[in-house]
Amino acid sequence: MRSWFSALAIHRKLVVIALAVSGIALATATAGLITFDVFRFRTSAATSVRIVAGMLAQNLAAALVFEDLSEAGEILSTIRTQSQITTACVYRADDSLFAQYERSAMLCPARPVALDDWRSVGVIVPVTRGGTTVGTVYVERSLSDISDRMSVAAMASAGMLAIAGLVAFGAANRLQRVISGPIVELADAARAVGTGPGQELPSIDAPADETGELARALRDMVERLNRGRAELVSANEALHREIDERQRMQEEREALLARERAASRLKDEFLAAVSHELRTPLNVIMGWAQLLATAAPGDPAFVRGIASVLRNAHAQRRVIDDLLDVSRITAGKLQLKFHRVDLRSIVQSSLEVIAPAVSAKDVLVESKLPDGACLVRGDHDRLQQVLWNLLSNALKFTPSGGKVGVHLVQSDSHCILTVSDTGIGIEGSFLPHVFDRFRQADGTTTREHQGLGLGLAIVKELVELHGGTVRASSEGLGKGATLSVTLPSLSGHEWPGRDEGTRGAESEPLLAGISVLAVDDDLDTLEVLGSALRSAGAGVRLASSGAEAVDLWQQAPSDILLCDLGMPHMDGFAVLSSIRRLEAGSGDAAPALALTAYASEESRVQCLDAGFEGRITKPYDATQLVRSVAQAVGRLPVPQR
Amino acid sequence: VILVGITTVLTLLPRPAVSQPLREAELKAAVVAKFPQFVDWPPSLGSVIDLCVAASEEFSAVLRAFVDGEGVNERGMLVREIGRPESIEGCDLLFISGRSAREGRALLAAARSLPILTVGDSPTVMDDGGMIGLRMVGGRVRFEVNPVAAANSGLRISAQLLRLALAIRGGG
Repeated sequence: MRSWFSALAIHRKLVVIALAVSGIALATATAGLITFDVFRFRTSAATSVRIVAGMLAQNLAAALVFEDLSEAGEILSTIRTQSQITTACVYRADDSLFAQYERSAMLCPARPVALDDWRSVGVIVPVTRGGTTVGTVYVERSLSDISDRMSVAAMASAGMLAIAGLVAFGAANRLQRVISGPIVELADAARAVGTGPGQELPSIDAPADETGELARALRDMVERLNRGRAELVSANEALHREIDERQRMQEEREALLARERAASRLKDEFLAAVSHELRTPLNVIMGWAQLLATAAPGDPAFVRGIASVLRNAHAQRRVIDDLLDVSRITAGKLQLKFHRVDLRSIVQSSLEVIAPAVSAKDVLVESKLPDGACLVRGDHDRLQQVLWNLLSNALKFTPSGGKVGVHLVQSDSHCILTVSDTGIGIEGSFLPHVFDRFRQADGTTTREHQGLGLGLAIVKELVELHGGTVRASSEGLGKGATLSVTLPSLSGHEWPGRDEGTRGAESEPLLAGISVLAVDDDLDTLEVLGSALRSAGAGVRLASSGAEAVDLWQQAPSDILLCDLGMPHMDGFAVLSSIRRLEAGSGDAAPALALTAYASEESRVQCLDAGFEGRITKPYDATQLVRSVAQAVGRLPVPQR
Repeated sequence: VILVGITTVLTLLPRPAVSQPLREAELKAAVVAKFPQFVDWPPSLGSVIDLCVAASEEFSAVLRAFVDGEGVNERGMLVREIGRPESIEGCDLLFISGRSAREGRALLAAARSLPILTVGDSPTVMDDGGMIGLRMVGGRVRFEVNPVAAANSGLRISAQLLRLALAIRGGG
């Protein structure tokens, strides 16, 4: 019952409650009314019986006194209209039965005793005459009509209940909407919030009672819920962003780490290569030096030995030059001296330089050059370096019997130089790294083919400093490689400088008639220096210390001073200042060049500040040395800085 | 309507066996003794109802036995024997029995202007101006009534008594 009721919808509950309440009230009232009616009816029945009995007693006195039975019967018969009276009895004064009237077969009691039960009510009334009691009348009335009356009342009540129930049902059905309407609406809204997207609570026309309060509370709750959800969403997004950011940073860090590892590995490999490259010629030089130290003069091995020592010293110097170049380029301190340069003559001279190596290796070189000059704006020496690097690279990787092609083409705006070979070629995957520093195709290549792997890197940097581009291409391993350099070309009148590249070979020694004082504490270096200058035609005096140099200068000044900077007791700067003091009286100032192993720009500035015209960095080759000296004394023009 | 007689009047006054005349006298005395209950006398009467008997001595004795200790409306009853019409003074009821017609007529005449209920058992008593006349019917004492004569004397006879009467006489 309870669960059945609690499972009902609220509007049905209201109807049921209304029906139950009105039904109970009506039933109670009806029961009370019926009870009251029965009681009253009973009372009035008793009263009417008493009246009848009294009337009979009044009239029966004479009949009793004179023992007239027929008269008594007649008087008794007057109550025949009272259909509910079942018995009427007349007793004498001594309570003996005198006469009786009977509607039913009921007998008179032996003695007159009042009766009062649910079936019937009996009253006794004394018969008096002249102040004495002459007898008693007993009248009994059946109460059977009460149950009739009750059943009629019950039926009427049932009918009334039914009608009232219908009316109450109708009324409750209409009136319950006042209460259940907002609740049902609220429930629908709450359900919509619970199951749907639920961003907004539909506005509810809520009354100003508890339902309204509930609606307002629900709306507040939904708003708070939405706020919370929005905060959650934004927090979630922030979290996602942070996670993404961290992931990205992690990936960057890993990539960086990988690059650093690769770089570190490259540097290790490079260091190994450097030490190998430096050690190999050194071994040869030391070997020959030991042999020659014990060999008798005039031994034919001398010529071969000296040649070998020179070759290996050159090779070692090249390695060091390359390293220094790369260092300069990396530091951005490479200074280019731009002139109008004929690329064709550089190519020609380069081919002449490598000709001995070409013939030694039995490689065929095919060159195809334009008829006219191919002018570019550039640094002659650096472009020469580019050519050497490209050619020596091609030679290095081309086996005996192979071919190297050198093509120079002058287009409208560019000079395009192509060096191709039939060598080992380049693997497709390595092509992008051909120009990377410290990078060679792999370890085995490094072992088979000597070198630091810096050649092409230097080529690329130099060409790009000239505003040109380099490209490498290869059909694959074993199919040869092609490197092409494109430089912007100059038309004849664009550069009004001298044409350095077309300079012819020197007809007479550059330094003929020039006196030179060379100072170095290292006697070997001093020896080499002296022979190089003498072969250029200069008159040379040598000093192995600063003091000796100052003494020599005091005896007779020279046309130019070549002085090592780092010497014990008296360094280069002190030597120069002493000589300048000696010169102070004459008013003459001979040019001075510093010899130094420090190639940095700093040391250059330091030299200039100290009064040196320039400096020659060790190691130096004879040609460069001679050119620098010639420039310092005005035998050669000084290149613009 | 069912009318059933249950009891008999025979048991009303159980007495030892008596002679026929005595038995009749007892029956009549019982009836006479009850008449005062159904008659209203004019006010200003004494505290005793005087029952005057002009009959045999036996009757007086029987009646006296009946009314002894009895009363009507707190008035006691007294039985008195009278012989002459002059002694009727003070009577409330006069019973005449066993007298000559002339004697009877004289007594009735004497009582006529007085508030006296006159009762007799002669066949002519009603014609002579009596108010109630007793008749033996089937062993039972019945009576005739002349309420007009009674009213003329200032008496009122109860309707119940009239209903029991054999006949109602008028005039007188």
